[in-house]
Order: sequence, then structure tokens, then C-alpha cells
Amino acid sequence: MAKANVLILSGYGINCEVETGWAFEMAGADKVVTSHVNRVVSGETPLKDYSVLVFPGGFSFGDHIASGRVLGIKIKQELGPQLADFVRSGRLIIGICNGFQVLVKIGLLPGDDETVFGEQKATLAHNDSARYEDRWVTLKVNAKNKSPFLRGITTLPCAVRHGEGKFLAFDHELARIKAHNMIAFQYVDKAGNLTQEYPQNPNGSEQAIAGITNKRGNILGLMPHPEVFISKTQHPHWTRLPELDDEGPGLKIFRNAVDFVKNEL
Amino acid sequence: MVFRVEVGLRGDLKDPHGKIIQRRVKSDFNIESVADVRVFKVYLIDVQKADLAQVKRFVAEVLTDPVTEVAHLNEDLTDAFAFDWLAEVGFLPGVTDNEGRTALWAFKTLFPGVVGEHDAVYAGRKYLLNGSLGQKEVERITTGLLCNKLIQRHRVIGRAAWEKGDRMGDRIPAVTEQARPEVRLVPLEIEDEALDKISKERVLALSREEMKAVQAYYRRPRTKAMRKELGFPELPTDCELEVLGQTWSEHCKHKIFSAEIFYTDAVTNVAMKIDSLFKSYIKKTTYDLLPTMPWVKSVFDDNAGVIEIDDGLLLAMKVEPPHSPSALDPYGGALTGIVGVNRDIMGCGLGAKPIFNTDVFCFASPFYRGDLPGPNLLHPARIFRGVHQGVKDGGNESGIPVVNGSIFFDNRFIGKPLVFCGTGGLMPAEVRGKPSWQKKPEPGDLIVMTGGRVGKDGIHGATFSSEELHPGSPVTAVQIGDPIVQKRMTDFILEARDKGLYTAITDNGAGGLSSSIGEMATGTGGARINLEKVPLKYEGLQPWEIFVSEAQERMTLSVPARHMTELQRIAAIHEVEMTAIGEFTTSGQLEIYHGKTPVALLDMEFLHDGLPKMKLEAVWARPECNQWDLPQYDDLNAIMIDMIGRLNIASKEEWVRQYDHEVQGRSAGKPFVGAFNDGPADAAVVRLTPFRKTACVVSHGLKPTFSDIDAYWMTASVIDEAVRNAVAVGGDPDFLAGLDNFCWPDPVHHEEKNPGGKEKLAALVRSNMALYDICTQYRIPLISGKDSMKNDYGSGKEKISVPPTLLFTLLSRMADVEKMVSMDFKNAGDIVYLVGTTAEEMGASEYFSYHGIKTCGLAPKVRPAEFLAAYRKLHIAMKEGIVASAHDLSDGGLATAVAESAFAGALGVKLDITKVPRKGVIERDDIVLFSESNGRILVSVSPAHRARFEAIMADAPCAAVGEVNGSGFMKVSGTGGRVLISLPSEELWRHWKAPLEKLK
Repeated sequence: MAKANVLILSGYGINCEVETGWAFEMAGADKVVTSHVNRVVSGETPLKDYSVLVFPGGFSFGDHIASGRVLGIKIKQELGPQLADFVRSGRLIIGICNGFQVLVKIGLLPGDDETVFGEQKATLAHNDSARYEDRWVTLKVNAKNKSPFLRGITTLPCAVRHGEGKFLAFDHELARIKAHNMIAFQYVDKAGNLTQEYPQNPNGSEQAIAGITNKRGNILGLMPHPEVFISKTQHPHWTRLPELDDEGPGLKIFRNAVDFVKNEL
Repeated sequence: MVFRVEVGLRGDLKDPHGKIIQRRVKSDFNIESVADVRVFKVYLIDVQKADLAQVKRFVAEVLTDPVTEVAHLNEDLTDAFAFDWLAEVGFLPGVTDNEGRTALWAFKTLFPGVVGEHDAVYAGRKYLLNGSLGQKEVERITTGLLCNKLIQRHRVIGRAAWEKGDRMGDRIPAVTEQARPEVRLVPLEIEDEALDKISKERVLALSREEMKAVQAYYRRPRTKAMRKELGFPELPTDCELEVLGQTWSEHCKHKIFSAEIFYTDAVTNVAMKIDSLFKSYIKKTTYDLLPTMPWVKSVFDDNAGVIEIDDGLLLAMKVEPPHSPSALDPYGGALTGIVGVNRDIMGCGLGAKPIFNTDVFCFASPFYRGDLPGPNLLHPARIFRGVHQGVKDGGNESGIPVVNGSIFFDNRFIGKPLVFCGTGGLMPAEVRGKPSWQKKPEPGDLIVMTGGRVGKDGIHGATFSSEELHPGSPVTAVQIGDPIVQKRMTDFILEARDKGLYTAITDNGAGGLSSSIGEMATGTGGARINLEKVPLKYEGLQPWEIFVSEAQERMTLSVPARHMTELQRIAAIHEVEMTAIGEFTTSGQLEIYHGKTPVALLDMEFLHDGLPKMKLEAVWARPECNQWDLPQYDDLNAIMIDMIGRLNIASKEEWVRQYDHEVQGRSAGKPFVGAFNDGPADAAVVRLTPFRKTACVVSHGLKPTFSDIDAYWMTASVIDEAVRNAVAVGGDPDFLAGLDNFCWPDPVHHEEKNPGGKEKLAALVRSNMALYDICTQYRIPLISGKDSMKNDYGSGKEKISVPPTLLFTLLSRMADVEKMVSMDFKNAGDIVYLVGTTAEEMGASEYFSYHGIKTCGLAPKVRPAEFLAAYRKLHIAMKEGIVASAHDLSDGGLATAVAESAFAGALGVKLDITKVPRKGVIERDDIVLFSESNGRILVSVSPAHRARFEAIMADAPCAAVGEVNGSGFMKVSGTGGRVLISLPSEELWRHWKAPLEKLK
């Protein structure tokens, strides 16, 4: 049994660290620490003390050049070996939106079968609409994916807020992702079917992919923002939905992470 | 050597940005022959010590996406793609290049120790156009769509020239100016006309009277003695005049609001003298109310107003109007505006954290077809898109949600668009045991500049915005912000605040260091500064330029010397630059040096209080007129469809959806609500944290065209609009705080240049009178405000002036967020009520504008006591949870509100307008439907709560006027049971959504 100590990265234009921290607090984490990337690099905040590492949403480096790219360079250059140890030990990493973009660009996702850091084999390209949008979509969880993050979740209404969220991968890589059940979330239409139609699929992602895990399931990356559906009043038309619980369904992902660490790590 | 890198999407992938350009070329220029557009990113890498192997690795690992992109050194990439024309766009020297800066940073991270002080990466774009186009057309497309010549350079190459070897090359836009720092003396013992000339040429924007006050200052024996003692020249220096010009600018000193005004109302034969509008109306409103409002913490003295929104939590808010730059460079101007007002909040008290933005724009129609009235004006569609993008990038990249706003269209905004950017921020009531809303530098504290570096960008912003625009306006007035540099600084400052490392803070906005240090120095009574220490973006700035530059994302701190080491340590973690550039003193003087060279010496008292008061005349002579003529209609179906698609009523979703409106996780009432998340919410509801039930309500009122009737009722109407918007979502009508933003045409009379000045000033006086009358009765303290007074283009008879505009922003509170009410109908069978009375008040209404009636018709009135009583009752019903929906009536009146509530709820509605409570006789049904009378809210209630609701609303004007149903139709009947409207909600919805989608 491990302590659910959560480390949330901040700095360089990351901007969802506070609400992501709230989600982990509500989920019952033992400790939630938000720390500038440079403090982790310098050892002021030692990565080894934590069991969950969070790459939150935001606009690291303003998405200049490509979203997640420049923060990714920094992480890979200055935290690479530490991060590889962290992943190998089976501890959890979640990357949301810009955090997902970072994980993909440094090759932690989809990840390699053999080594921790693969080459970049997938990407999150500009939306087909060529613009940033904030809208709510419905996600379906891939029941075959056994990642601890996804337990007990089947569908999830969620906000997407990005300009670069179109998941693309080379054909053989996409085949591998499917073969190993690494797809985590997919955009669905009103009837619950996977969709390529805008705006239910807000960016034109291949296979309607909204999020994936690595093969082992301890790294999750997704474009939508479950951290802003931890209470019912965050839903855009909650005033029409008297059946909603006070707790928003997005919280389940964070609870799953905390419970996994407490009970199974 | 300079390495040129081009990066493009693989040829087999569609280019979504190219598609948008293709679409806009068609819609904006009527050019149909562009078959395909592809966009390449271009980087010019000027890193002296870099070798080819490093650059190749940098291109592969940083600049190129291995899945989707291809890249080449030099221009070989272009060869692999078909094109008829190439257009390349890059920044002019010295213009902030955020992408280039990030690329350099990445290079540094990848190869530590290689990058030197003068190295840079310059980012640009290259467009490959296919289609049979002429050189002139391509030039037009490039300058009209792809670049802004004010800040960018461009080059066009045709296929034929390319074949012959013409290439873009690798010329970098480095700043090469190498002027030596120099202090010039400016003799003022000259003729009066020559004084005017100095003011004009140096863009000081000081009047002759003000120049004479300056002249007199240098004659004072005390001034002379002090200058001699401290080693300053007897003659004024360039920097001193610049500091005076900035400090005394209309933008900073609000001279018109402080002026002595002789006001005559020729309609009622009243004459009076007003000693300062600000003191007599705005301050008086707040001070009359303050004794009973302990929750109002800080007003007027700081960067923003501060209220206690919940136990131990303070909310600071400010709204800024950065219009002038937005007219020249819509993107940069708006971006600067939004990140600038964020800094106001960070610099308020000991520093608040921005939690939301608001955006209100006034533009000419983006579908305007006429000639533009001036050579340096941009088409309104371009201004619209540019401003939108600036606000979008500024808010999204900073992680601050846009929660409330509007876009208003009137063609008088063609010369000057209005762009209001507001920000609200939270801070704990106490920081390390001290009240957070107070601050004061201590004598001896170091003056620390932090954030970005100083360049020539933004010189004369304060004085420039105090002048009308003219063709020769200086380009240096334009700035481009970098939200990410500012975000880093925000993280740094909030950490330093909580550690108690500084005693005071303020932002560098208009007037730059001159303004921030000048203001803070009043706390101790003096300051000594060495400009040589200020970090510069490039060499060649004159000392006065360093002092007044408005280069972005900078704050000034006062730091006790003992905290410097710790502050430096934290700054280094956040990679934020900070430099001590002087210290606060008690000398009574502002002393500025560059190294050992004396640059400026000014007496603090003269600087802040030496400005002579203006004396102005205002004459009101416009009686109300109620003569008009409307055609008779058999039914209103066609009219209704036209009305719902009018630009001021139509959906703004296409644009607003591109703003992040929920980052930080506080939003409970989003801009769009209803069954399809697209109904227009009346106000934003922002929870303070998910652990508290308390929420803050943010709303606003705006209707510039009401000033065509009377600015008094314009003002009263927008205040009421803001209040009823707040009440409609569940805001407490007994907890309100207001922010007033005046944007006026020049109200200073001049026979040739501004013949209508007296009436414009009278409109300003009347607006202030209404502000006092209405706010004191609604019990709204005015916690912050700003005025912008020269919103004209050109001069004399050619002048295009904006209508007198007041944006009224309102903060309210909701004790329990779960009592929030949205505007969409909820269930078939619910009863529809109209709260408030309807009168024949059609002046400047959307319905009259639709019929071309401009200045006749009565203005909607406001009766605060009557309205407030009804709002309070409705609020009780909401707190009991028995109100299913509530929607404010404004542009387009009852008809608009009913249609919006119906389609947002995916429901139908039956309405009988003979039941509408009226004030006076209204003969025409269309007037009942489209009147814009104030004080009205459309409500729906379940039949189960009918009795209770009616009991609560007893004695208030409120009547059941219809019923929600599942028919999917909006059916309206009028006098004698005549069917006026019968349309599917879905059809109305389509006509409401379409107009502004066309612009994309």
C-alpha cells in the first residue's frame, strides 16, 4: 500500500494546475503538491516522493511551434531518466489536454513495447476546423482497456478546449494501439456511436480517439478536461438535469488513480 | 550565418489553415480563382555559434512533427509543392515575435551554452497560392488578409520569377539602430505658438495652458535652486516633458472628468456649474452608499475596485478600454488590452489572481460595403476578426476564462472600434496578517522592474490614446503582448506575495515606468532611478524612451533590501527577469539618471497636482421627439425572421465558442446554456471555489444608440440592463457593485475642429447625472471605472464620432450557486410570465433601426423603486427554487426573449400579448412585441408552483402571458386573437445562428 501523493507540474504557461489539484483533493489524495518543473529538475521537489504525476492542461510556451513540443523538449532533456524510472515502477501519470500533447510529443504515449521513451509515433494535429474551441462532447470508454484510470466508467460528458487535438498516428502504430487495447476514450454521437462528425468529434481525430493509455495502462493522456466536471454545476446545462449527482462524473478518473495507488501499488 | 528553415504539412494532408484563407479570399475580396492555399512556417535561425549538425537536430526534434510535417533547410521545400504565387510575411524589426522567442529558448534547452546575447530566431509564414491571379491581386490578398503592414513585412514572388531564381532569402529583421543615449534640452522661454508646436511634435498632447504651467514651473526659484543643487541643467529635459505629457494625459489624469463645466439645459432652462464630474457624481455615488457597505474594501485609489465577495475572500475588478491601438493593429491592440487589464488585477492591493475576463466590442458592420473613410483604416470585418483573435489568444493562453461579453454593431464605430476588456481577480482578505487590499512602499525600498524587457514598442500609448486618430499616427504606439511571459510573471508574483517579499506592486501599463513609479512614489514622497539598469530588448533607446515605453508584461515592485536574495531565487525558478532600478525616497522629487547623466528632475507635487483645471461648456438643447411612421403588417412572421437575424440580436456563438470560458473550473453559469448548449445566458455565474457554494455573478449593460435620444436614459437603461441580467440568473439585487466605462466622442468644443463639442459634453453631464440618480437608488457603489474621451476619426465636418457609450459592468452575488436559473424553457406545460411593464418606448430600438427610424421615439425609462421591488420578489421566488427559467428583455424586446427561451429549451411556446402588463396605451401589437422598455424579465414556472409564485409576485407588475408546449412552434396572438407569429422554433434558431457564422 502506497500513499497517494500527487505531484502536479506547473510553470511555462501550464494553467490548469489549480483545478486539477482540486480534483485530486476531492478524490481523497493524501498529499497534493503543485510544483514548477524547475523545482522538480533541481530536486527541490523530488519526483521519487510521489506516486501520481500530473501534466495538466494549459498553453505551455503558448503552443508556439507545436503544442506541447517545447515543454516536452525540456522534460525529456532534464527529467528523462527520472521519469523513465517513475514509469517503470508502475506509478501513474496522467496528461490532460496540453499535458497529453506533451506526453505524445516525448513518446511516452502511445509508448514503446520495450523501452519507456519511444520515438514520437503519433501526434495531436490542428483541428480540422483550424481553430480553438471550447465545447462539451460525450466520451465512450473502451471497455477492453484495463487501465486503472478507467475502472467503472462507461461514458463521460466532458469539455474539450483545444486547437490541436486531432489524434493522428502512422497506420502500423494505430494498428498496434488497437491491438493492445490502448484506446481509452472516443468521441461518440447522441446515439452513443463512434463518430467522425463535427462537432461531436470536435477535431477530426482518427478512430474518434480522445485519449489513450500506454500498453501497461499506467499512463493516461486525453484531450478533454475531466477535472472540470467534478461537481454538477460545471455542466453547461446542469439546470436542466435534476438527476445529476452533486459530484460530477469526471471525478471518477481521479478517484480511480488515488484508489489504485492506495490499494494496489 | 543565418539558417533558413521551412516547415509544412505533408503534401498528402489537407491544410486546414489554408482552407480558411481560401474561404476568406473569396468572401472578403470576391476572388474566386484561388484553388488551393498551403501555409509553411518559416524560421530564420541567427545563432552565431550553432553548427549545421545542431541546426539539423533542432529542425528534426523541435521544429518538425514527424507524423504530419516535412521540413527543409533553405527553400528546397517549396519545390516539392505546386504553386503559382508565394507570399511571405514576417515581423518588422523590433516587433515582439513570441514564436521566434520560444524557438530560441528551445534551442538553448537542447544545446546549453551555445546561444549568445545577440542571437535570435525569427518566425514567419509563407503562403503558397494556386490559382490564376495577377500580381496586384496577390498583393491585395497579402496586405489585406495575411499581414498588417504596420508591424509586418511581406514579399510576393510569382512562379515565373521563382523559375528565374528569385528567392525570399535570409534577411533577418534585427534592430540595427545604434543611437547613443543622449539627453536633449528643450528651451521653453519661447512664443506661445512655438509651445503648441513642441506639444504637437513630441506627441505630448498638452494644451497651451498646460504648456504654460510647465513653463512657469521652470521659472520658479525653488525649481532652479533644486536643479542646481542636484546637478541638473536649468533648461527642461526631453524626458521631463515626456513624463509631464504622460502624467498629465487625458488617459491618466481624466482632465475632462476633473474639469469645471458650465452646463445649460436649454430644454428645461436650467443652468449650473459643475466642479468635476468625477467628484460630483461618480465619487459621490459611492461615498453616499459606503457607510452601509462594509464589504466595499477599496475604491478609486488603486488599479481596480475591491469588494469582499465571501468570508475572507476579496474580488477585485477592472475594465479597460484599449481602443486606439485596436484600430491600427486589431490583434496586437486587443491582445495588449486583455493582458494589460490582467496586470491591473495582479497589481491591485498586494496582488490578486485573475479568475475571469469579460469582453465587450463595438464595431461597424463586418458586412460593410462602402468606402472606408480614411487611408489608415481597416475594414470592420478585419478589425472584428483581429480583435477577436487577440482577445482569444490573450485569454486562452493565460488560462483566464472569458465569462461574459457582447458585440454591438453600429457603423459609427468604423473610425474607432471600442474594445473593452475586463478582469476579475481573487485574493485572500489577509496576506501574512496584513490587509491584502492595502499597500505602501517604505522609504529605502528598492524599485524592482520585473517581467519583460523594454523596447520602443508602445511609446506614447498614453498620450496617443488622448488624441484623435490621424493618418500619421506613430507606429510605435502598437505593442504585441506575450501572454506566456506574463503567465510566468503571474506565477512568480503570487508566490512572492504569499511569502511577503514586497511592500507594494503596480503594473506598467499606459505610461510605462513613468506612470508606475510616479504613482508608487507618492507613497513615500519621492524616487531615484537609474535607467541604465533597465534591461532592454535591443540597444539604441533614448533615456526618455526607456522611461515612457509601454512594452508589455512588466510590473513594478517595491522590495525591502533584505528580501532581494529570496525574491531573486524565486524569480530564477520561474525564469522571470527582475532588476532593481532605483529606490523610493522621501526627497519630494522624482530623480532620474542614466548612469551618472542627469535625465529628469521633477517636483512630485507639481507632477501630480500642478495641472491647471480645464473650463468647459456644455449645452443640451434636444427635446424628445415622438413622431414616427411605421407600415401596417398583416402578420409578423417575415419581420420576426429579419429581427432575430439582426446583427445585434443574432447569435455570437461562432466567435465566443473560441474563447475558453471554463478554465480554472469555476464556471457554473456559462455563456451558453440550454438543451443544445447554445442559448445566450444573461450573466455569468462564477463559483469562488468548488468547496464553497457562494458564486459571483458578472453581467453588463450596453446600448450606445440610446444616446441618439438622450444619454441620460442611455445610462439609466444600461444600468438597469446590467441589474436585470444579474437578477435573471439569480444574483442578489441587494448585493451589487458597478464599474463605469465611458467612451465618448471628443466633448471639448472647438469652432472648426469640433463644432458639436458642447452637446457631446452635455451628453456626458447627463450620463453622469443618471449614473448618480440610478445607482444611488439601486444601491450600486461604483468601485472602478475608466474614461476614454477622443473616440473620433478625422476632424471638423469630416469627423466620424462614436455614439456616446457607457459600458456598465456589474458584480453581484449568489449565496447558493444551486439556486441559479438559466434562460431556456424547461418543460411543456410551464406557465410563461412577464415581469415588468411595457410602454411605447421605441427610441433607438432594434425595431426602429430596422425601419430606418433613428432619432425619434421615446427612450426607455427606468423607475428604480418600482423595478427593484419586482426584482426582489423574483429573487425570493428563485431562492425558493420555483422559477424554471428567466430571461432578460433587451434588444428586440419580448419577441426576441420568447424566441430565445423557446429554441434554447428545444420547446414551443404560445403567447397572448394582450395579457402583457402595460404602462399607458399601446395601440400596435408590434410595438408591444418589440418595445425595449426596461425592467422586464421573462419567466417560466411549473404549474405546480403557480400559486406560490403569484403570491410572491403580488403587487409587482407581473402577468401570465403564455405557456410552454411541445409543439416546437412559437405562436403569438394579439388584439382580437389575431395570429401575429407562427413559426417553428427551429427555423427561428437557424436565422438567429446564421448571420455571424458567415464571417468565419
